[in-house]
Amino acid sequence: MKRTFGAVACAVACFAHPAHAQEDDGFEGRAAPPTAAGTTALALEVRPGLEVFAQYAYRRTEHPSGPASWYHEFDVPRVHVALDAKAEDARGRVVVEGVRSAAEGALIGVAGNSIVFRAREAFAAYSFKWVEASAGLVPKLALPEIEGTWMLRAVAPAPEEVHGFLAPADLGANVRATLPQGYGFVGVGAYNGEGYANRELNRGKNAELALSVHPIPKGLLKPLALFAGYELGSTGTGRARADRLSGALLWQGKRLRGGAAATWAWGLADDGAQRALMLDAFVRAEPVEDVLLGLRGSHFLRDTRASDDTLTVVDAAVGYRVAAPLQVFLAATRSLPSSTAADAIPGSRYWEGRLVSRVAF
Amino acid sequence: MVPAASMRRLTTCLLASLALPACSESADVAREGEIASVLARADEAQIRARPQLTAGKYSRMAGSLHAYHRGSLAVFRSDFRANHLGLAVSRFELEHPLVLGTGDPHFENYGVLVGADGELALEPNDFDSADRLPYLWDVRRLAVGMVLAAHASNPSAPAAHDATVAEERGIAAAVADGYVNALSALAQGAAPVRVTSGGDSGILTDALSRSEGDLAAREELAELTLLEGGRRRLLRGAPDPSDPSQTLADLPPNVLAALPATLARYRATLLAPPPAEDFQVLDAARVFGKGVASWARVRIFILVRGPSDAPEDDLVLELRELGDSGLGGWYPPGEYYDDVGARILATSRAAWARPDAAPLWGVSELLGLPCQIKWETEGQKTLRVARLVGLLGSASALTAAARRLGEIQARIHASGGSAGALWGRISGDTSGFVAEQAEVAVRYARQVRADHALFGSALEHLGPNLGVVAAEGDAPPPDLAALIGAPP
Repeated sequence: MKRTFGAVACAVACFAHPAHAQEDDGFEGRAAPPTAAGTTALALEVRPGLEVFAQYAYRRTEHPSGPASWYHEFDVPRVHVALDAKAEDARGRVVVEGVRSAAEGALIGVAGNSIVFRAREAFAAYSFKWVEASAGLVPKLALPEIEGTWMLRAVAPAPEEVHGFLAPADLGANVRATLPQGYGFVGVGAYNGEGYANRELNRGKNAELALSVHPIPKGLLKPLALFAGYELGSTGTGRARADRLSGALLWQGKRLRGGAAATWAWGLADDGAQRALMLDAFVRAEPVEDVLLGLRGSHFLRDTRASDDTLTVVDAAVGYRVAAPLQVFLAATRSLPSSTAADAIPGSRYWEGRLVSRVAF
Repeated sequence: MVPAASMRRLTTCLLASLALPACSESADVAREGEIASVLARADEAQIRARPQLTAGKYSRMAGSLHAYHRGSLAVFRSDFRANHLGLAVSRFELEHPLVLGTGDPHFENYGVLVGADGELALEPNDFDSADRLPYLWDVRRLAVGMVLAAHASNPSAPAAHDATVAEERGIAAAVADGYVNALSALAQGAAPVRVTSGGDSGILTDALSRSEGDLAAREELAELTLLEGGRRRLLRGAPDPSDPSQTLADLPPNVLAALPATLARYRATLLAPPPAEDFQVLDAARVFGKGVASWARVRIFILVRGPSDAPEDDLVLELRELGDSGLGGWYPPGEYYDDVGARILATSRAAWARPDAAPLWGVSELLGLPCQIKWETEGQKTLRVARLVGLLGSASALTAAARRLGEIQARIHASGGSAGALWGRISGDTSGFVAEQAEVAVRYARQVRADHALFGSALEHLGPNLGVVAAEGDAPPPDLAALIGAPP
């Protein structure tokens, strides 16, 4: 009886004891937990976070040869939950995102078409002076630079991502060297090349090279940046060519941000012979404290082999920071396909109005 | 500060990288890669879970041009949306309203059905890809399919074959012509036509007359079952020795045990369900090697009791796994049906000339897989390119059939009340419409013929599953794996 009590007391003590105390003794005399997550002495250094967009959208679609149609719905275009941890020179990050289970590519949805979670980022990184190396499901170098300048994803995602030019993350590794005195960064990476939502489908690996230079990193022109990126890659089992050349002129100020970017694609959507161009310009301003304005325009030349195959999109928004973590936006989008593009992508000529909230912690 | 030498090296690397795009690849290589990637991406989940079956499907597609066309709907979709081949461009485009479309109309997706009134009629008989679509999708897919059917005609008689192929444009035009004529009548309030006779089409007459004969003889019982001691059971192995690729195999016990519940759910979806006793399971067998696009899907023949205990009226039902149409999502809302089964029921009954055109056509679920169940009978012949020989493979026969199929497709599109809108778009220049569809169909069919060769090449280069390698963790759980099975 005494021994039973002792065992129970020991077990209770173990559960009650902080997890890191268990690892301090090197798990001497017992098995380590099946996963070390949350059991190390550094577990308390983990910082959770989340970002959620909630929106009501009304879309009026203009059909070239028929009456207009409309549709409206509530949606959560972004649900991100993140865990960040950092100790000494190492850090780790996991981001999961909510997506529709029956999105394109799904064979059958989960419980209808529920919102389910999948990994968006999951990597370990190590910094040595001004160089950081990351491996896992890592953010890539080009798109985050453009998107991170815009900082209004709630208003509109980057057209480079929407149309498959650039992916925000992929399985692989990259190394990013921060240039001293705020001159920018240079980075190289190697990835599977299928983006974070697909498994690797070929033996080819993508190589990415990116350079962001702030030519005058002091004073009024500190926000000015020149960005160039090149990715040599392939997609699909057929190893369709998927090379990208991106260039951008960016302004990364506190109250005023904006840029103009161009991305050229050799191969798009599994067609290695396709050549396409994305031109993108955007500005984000906070003219008055807590009032946000956004304007973005993109021009997508879908295929240089076809004449008049373009899609032009303009997004505009006005927003207000209700509280530090909460912003609300009134946004409008106008999508204008050329005649050829309209035939191929029915429903692409539309007006859309959205009421969006964004909360981030 | 980064050393100057490092910066120089970096610049050199950058310039070297930028120079690489100059190495261009040939158009054929690019197209071969595109075909492989598009198909593999569309089938990836199936390839990983049932690699032997998808390899069989691809092998079948490689074996004939028409089979390739049937199995490559994903490429058609990719080409339609990318549009560099001009597949979507039209002077007669009408994106709204989206019509009820069968999604994959081609020669072999029509056949004879025995209606609730006992009458035989030619109807669409495959709704795997049925969904709301731009009407031109269906028209062009059908016209392309008819051109390819012409290329499959009279394979052993070169002169006859060439004569039919020479008329490919006229055959494609007949699809559009039939579509226009039927739409015109429907827009003016004519009743939808149920095709119960072949009329001037020898191909349709052949299908209807053979169906009528075999229906009376219950030919499928002779072909698929054995009668032993007054009790009937399904054959095992290849029912047709001349086609050993199609075989029947035993089902695992857990699947057999699940069938009564599956049939009970199926019965509840029928418009006029027969008594439950009619669906008492006598035997069931897994079917391998049937179809093309659905080759890798689970297919089961179920022998049920029928109206009496007498073996003469036993029924063979075909259960087939269903999937998403893959063709939805054109613009919001993009989804129009609650689930896969609801899509099949709604589209089939609206597409047919009467909702009970196939009274035993319903849906259910088997061990979590959505499935369709229908009567398997030789009294419901599907149109087959293999029968396009002799006079049935002549240009005039194919032209007449194409016209009738175009008429049926117009009836399907008009079933949702869209006849007026469609006719309004076409009526101003019907001859221009017909000419345009014929032009696109002939041009794209030429592309499909080239693609078929490239597809074979892709299989050679990438392997039987187009380069997707199933990993150990991709295998389905044992009970599902037993249901999926592997061809003997």
